[in-house]
Amino acid sequence: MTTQRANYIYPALGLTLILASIIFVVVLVPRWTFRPPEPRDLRDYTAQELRGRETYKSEGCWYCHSMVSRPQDWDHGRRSKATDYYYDEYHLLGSERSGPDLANIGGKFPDQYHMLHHKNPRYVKPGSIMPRYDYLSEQQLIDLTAFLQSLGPNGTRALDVRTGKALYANTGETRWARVVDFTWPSGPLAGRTEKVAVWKLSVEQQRAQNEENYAGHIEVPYRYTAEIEELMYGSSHEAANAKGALQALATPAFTNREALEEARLEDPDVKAWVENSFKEGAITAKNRLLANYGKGLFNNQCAPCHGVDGNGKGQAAFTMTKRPANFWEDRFSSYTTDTWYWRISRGVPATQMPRWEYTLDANQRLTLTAFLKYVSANHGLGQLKGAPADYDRPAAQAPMPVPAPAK
Amino acid sequence: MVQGLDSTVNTTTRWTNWLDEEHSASKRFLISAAIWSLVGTLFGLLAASEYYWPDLVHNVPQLQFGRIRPTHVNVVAFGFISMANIGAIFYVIPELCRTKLYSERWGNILMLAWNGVIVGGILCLTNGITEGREYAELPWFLDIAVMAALILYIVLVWGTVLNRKEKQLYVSIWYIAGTTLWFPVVYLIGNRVFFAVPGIGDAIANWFYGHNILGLWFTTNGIGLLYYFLPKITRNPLYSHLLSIVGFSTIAMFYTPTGTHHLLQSPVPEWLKAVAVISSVMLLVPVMSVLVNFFLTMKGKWAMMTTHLPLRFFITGLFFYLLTCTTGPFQATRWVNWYLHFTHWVVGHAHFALLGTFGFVGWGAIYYVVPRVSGRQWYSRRLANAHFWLTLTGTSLMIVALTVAGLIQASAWEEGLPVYRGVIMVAPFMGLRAFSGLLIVTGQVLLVYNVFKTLVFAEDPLEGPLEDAAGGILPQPARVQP
Repeated sequence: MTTQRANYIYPALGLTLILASIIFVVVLVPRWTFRPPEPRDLRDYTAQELRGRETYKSEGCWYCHSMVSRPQDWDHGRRSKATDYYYDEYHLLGSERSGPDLANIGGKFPDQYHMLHHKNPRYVKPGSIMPRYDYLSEQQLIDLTAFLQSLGPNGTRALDVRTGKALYANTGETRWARVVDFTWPSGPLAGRTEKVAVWKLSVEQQRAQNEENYAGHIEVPYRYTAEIEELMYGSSHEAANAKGALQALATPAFTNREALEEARLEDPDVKAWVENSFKEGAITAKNRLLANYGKGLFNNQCAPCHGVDGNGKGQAAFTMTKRPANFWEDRFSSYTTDTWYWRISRGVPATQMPRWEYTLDANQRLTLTAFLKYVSANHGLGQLKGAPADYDRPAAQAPMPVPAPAK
Repeated sequence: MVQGLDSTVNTTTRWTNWLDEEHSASKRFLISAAIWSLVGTLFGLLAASEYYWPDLVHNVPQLQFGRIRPTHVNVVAFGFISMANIGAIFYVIPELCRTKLYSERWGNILMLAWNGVIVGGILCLTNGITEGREYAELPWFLDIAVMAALILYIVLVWGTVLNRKEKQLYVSIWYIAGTTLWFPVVYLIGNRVFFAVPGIGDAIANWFYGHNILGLWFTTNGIGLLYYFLPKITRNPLYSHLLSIVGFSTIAMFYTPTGTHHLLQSPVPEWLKAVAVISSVMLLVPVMSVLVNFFLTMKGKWAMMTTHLPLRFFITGLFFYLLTCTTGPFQATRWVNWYLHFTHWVVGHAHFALLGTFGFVGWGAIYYVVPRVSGRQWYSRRLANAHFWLTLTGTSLMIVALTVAGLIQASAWEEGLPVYRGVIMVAPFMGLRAFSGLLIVTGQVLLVYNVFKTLVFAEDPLEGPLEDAAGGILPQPARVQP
C-alpha cells in the first residue's frame, strides 16, 4: 500500500508546488508590488458619494456599465489610470457594456438629467433598455447622482494638480449655475418639489446637440428637451431668471462658437495669438513658443496618424479604413479658427479621430488650432522645422499661457 | 442494484435513516441540481426578457435586472452545475475506489448546507446584498458557509479515496481530488471576506478567481467525470494514459494565471497581462490533449450517440468545449480582445463554456447517475429526448445571437458610434436570446417533471437492467418479457 501510494505523492506535491508558485506570482506579487500612489488629481469620496457607490454596487449597475475608459474607446473621455481607483475599497470595473462607460461620466450631464434618467431612462433616452430605478428612495437617487458626478477628470472629485483645489465643485461657481427648488409642472411627477441643479446649457443648445447626435437614428420623438425645457424654464420664476445667466456660461463641450468664446475669455493672450500671429506667416520670437508647444502636442497626439508634417502619412495611417486627413489639401487652408477648434474638439464620427475635448483643455486645443493653421497654410512645418529651440523652457522666455506638456 | 429501495426496507426505522441510505447524498444532489437548473434558467430568462422589454417588471426591486443577473449566474453555477458535479462525483468516486462514500450522513448534510447556501444566495442577491465581485457576489456570511461546505466536501472525497479497495488511482480521481485541493485556495482569494485588496488590485484578485472557478472547478470536475463516463459507457479503453497525464498537469499550470486577460485594456501591470495572454494561448495544450483523448476513446462507438442519451449530452458538451476552448485563447490575445472586450460576444463565450459544455455534462450526469443511485428507470425517454433537443436548440440559438450581437457592438464602437446606438442595433438579437432562453427553460421543466415522476410519483417503477447500452434511459431491445 505504501509503495503504491508513493507513486502519487511526488507528482501531487510537485503539482501543488507549481500551483502555489503560480498563485504567488499572479496574486501575491501584484498585491505587494503593484500599489499605485495617491493621486494628485483626485480627492477621496465623501460619505454621500460612498453611499451612492454602495447603491451602484447593490443595484448591479456595474453589470452593464463598465468603469474603465480604454484607449480605443470613442466618446468615453480620457483613458483610465491606475491611480483613478486609489480610493476604491472594491473595484466596479464591470465586464460588459450594455450601457456607456461611466469612468468619466462626472460633469457630462447635469444632476437633474441623472435624476430623471434614473427614474425612467426612456424618459430622456428613447430606446434605452436600462431598468427604471424609481423604487429607490429620493435620497438614494441623490447619493447615486453625487457618486456619478464625482467620477472622472470633469467630476467633482477632480483636483487641479497645481493648486490641489477642486476643479469643478458642485457649488454653483463653475460647472453648476445654481441649485433651485423646482416644482414639476406636469408629467408623472407633477406637483413634486425638489432640488434642481440648473444646467449651464441652454435648451437650444441641448436640442442642437441631441439632433446632431441622434438625427435619423431614433423614430421616437426626443422628449428630453421638451421636458427639460418645461422643467427648467417653463413655470419656475427662479429658473426663468437663471436662464439669462446660464446662456453666458455655455460650456466648451457642446457648440463651437460658445466654446471658443469661453476659451478665449479664459486667456486673452492665446486668443490674440491664435487670431493674429500667423497672418503674416512669419514666426516671431513671441509666437514661436506657442507654435512649438502646438507642435509638441501635435507630435504627441496627432502625428502617429496625420504624420509629423501634417500630410496624413503617419505610421498608423495605413491601418485605417478612412485615411487620416492631409492638412496640405486646399480645403484646409480655408478652415476658420472656429472650424479647426470645433473639429479638434468633436473629432470625426465613424473614424479613429477622437473627441479631444475630453483629453486636451481648451488652451491646448487652441494652440493646436494655431499650429494646424500654420501647417495648412505652409504645406508643412516651414519655419518650425527642426528641433524646437525653446520648447523646454517657455517660462524663461515669455509668460506661457498654457500648462506644461504632460510627460 | 436497487440498494436505495432495499436499504429503506431492511433497516430499522430511525429518524436519521434518510440520511444514511447508500447513494442518497448523490441522488439528492442530482435532484437539487435538476431543480436549480430550472430555477437558474428561469432567472436567466427573466433577465434576458428584461433586456428586450425593459419595462416588463416594474417596481419590484427583487426582479430588477441588476439583481437577477447575479442570481442567475450564482444559481446556475453553484446550484445546478456544481451540485450536478458533486452528485455525480459521490457516485463515481466510490465506484472507482470500489468502496462506499466516506460518510453518507455527512454527504446529506453537505447537500442540505449547499441548498441552504443557494436559497440564501437567492434571497440576498435579489435583495441587493452583494459583494460586487463577479462570480463572488455572495455576501460574506455565505462565503464562510461555502468555505465550510468545501472543507466538508474535501473530507468526504479524500475519506473515500483513502478508504479505497482499488490500489490504482484512475485519472478521474486525480482531477476530482486535485480540484478539492486547488479550489478552496481559489475561493479564498476570490472572496473579499478572506482576501481584500484596495483599488484596482481588487480587479486582479476578482478575475484570478473569476477565471479559475471555471478552470479549476467546473472544468476539472467535469473533465474528471467525463474520464469516467466515456470509457464506461462506450466500453472502450481510454485512448492514452500519457495524454491524460499531460492534460492534468498542464491544466493547473496554464489555467491559474489567465485571469488578467479580462483586464487587458485596464491599468494593471503589463507583465501580468503578458503572463495571462501567454497562458491563455497555452491552454490549447491541456484542452487539445483532453479532447484528442476523448475523441479517440470514442473510436468506433460514435454511433452510440444516437441511442444513448447521457452519452449524447456528454459528446455535445465536448463539441461545445472544443468550440469554447479554440475561440477562448484567441479572444484572450491583445488584438482580438481589443475588438471584442465588453461586448455580448464575451457573454456568449461564457454561455458556451458554462451552459454548452458543463451544463450538458451536468445534465448527462443526471441522466446517467440517477437511475443507478435510485434503482429506478427514467419515467419517460421522450421527455428526456425533448429536453435534449430543446436545450441544444436553445443553447445554439443563444450563442449565435450573443456572438452576432457582440460583433455588431464591436464594429459599432470601432466606427465611433456611441454605446447607446449599439444597444438599439442589437435589440433584435436580444429578442432572439430571450426566445432561446424560453426554449431552454421549457427543457428544464421537462427535466424536473421527469425527475419527479421518476423518483417521487412513479406509479410503476421500472427495475430493469441498468448495465445495458442504453444507460438506463433508452429502449431496451434486449429485454425479453417472460
